[in-house]
Amino acid sequence: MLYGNELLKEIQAEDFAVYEAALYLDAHPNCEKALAYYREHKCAVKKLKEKYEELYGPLTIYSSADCDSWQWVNGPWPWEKEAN
Amino acid sequence: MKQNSRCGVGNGSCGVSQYGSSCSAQARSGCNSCSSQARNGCGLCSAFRARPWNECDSSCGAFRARAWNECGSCGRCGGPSVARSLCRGSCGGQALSCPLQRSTDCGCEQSSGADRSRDNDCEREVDCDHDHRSLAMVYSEKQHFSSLYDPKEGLCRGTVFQELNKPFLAYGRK
Repeated sequence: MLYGNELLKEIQAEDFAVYEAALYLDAHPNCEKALAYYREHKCAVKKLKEKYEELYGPLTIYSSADCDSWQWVNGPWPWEKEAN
Repeated sequence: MKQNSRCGVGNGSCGVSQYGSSCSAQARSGCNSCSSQARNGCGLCSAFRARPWNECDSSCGAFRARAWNECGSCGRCGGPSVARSLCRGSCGGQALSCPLQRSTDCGCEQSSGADRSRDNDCEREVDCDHDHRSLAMVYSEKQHFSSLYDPKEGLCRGTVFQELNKPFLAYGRK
């Protein structure tokens, strides 16, 4: 398993579900089922990202400055094997 | 798998193909008794072309009769006394249940276009305006929030909505 790959896949899937719900809600803003689905998966994404960052470091630069040092450079770069 | 079926409808026979392009042409030709004014003025011939053709195959006669007579497209039908319930669910399930009015220029029945209703579970909105669709304007059914894939499968398929999962299959391939 490469650098939290399975966890990343879960994050991507949950992110995708949130985005799908958002697109649906654009056209059906009062649909309670869609709103509940959106909230549920948004919460799941948040938890998964927190878990990932705790284990592997920041996912984005916006969460990189939470520590005393700049953590962003510690992870693999996109062209490195570990990131793929 | 190509299937063509022919059925007797109205005062002639119509050929209905599974494939939209050929079916469109045939569908129009099947309405030869409609005046061109009726077809142009009402613009509703496409109402039934949007339906899945396998449904058309199985009930072509009844469907065609509804599409042209009761759903208010071509003016071959009777008067405004047509039972609206017969149209619901048979021609796409939407605006064809609208109140019908008889237009004066081509003898066609048309929806008032003003009715709009929504059911309770926010899944289906009925929009009668589609009776006034124009050429070159795209029409789509309202989406329902139901039958979802789980997120991982949805990501693989490109949508979490099962009803939007339309995998491309090469023409003629089973």
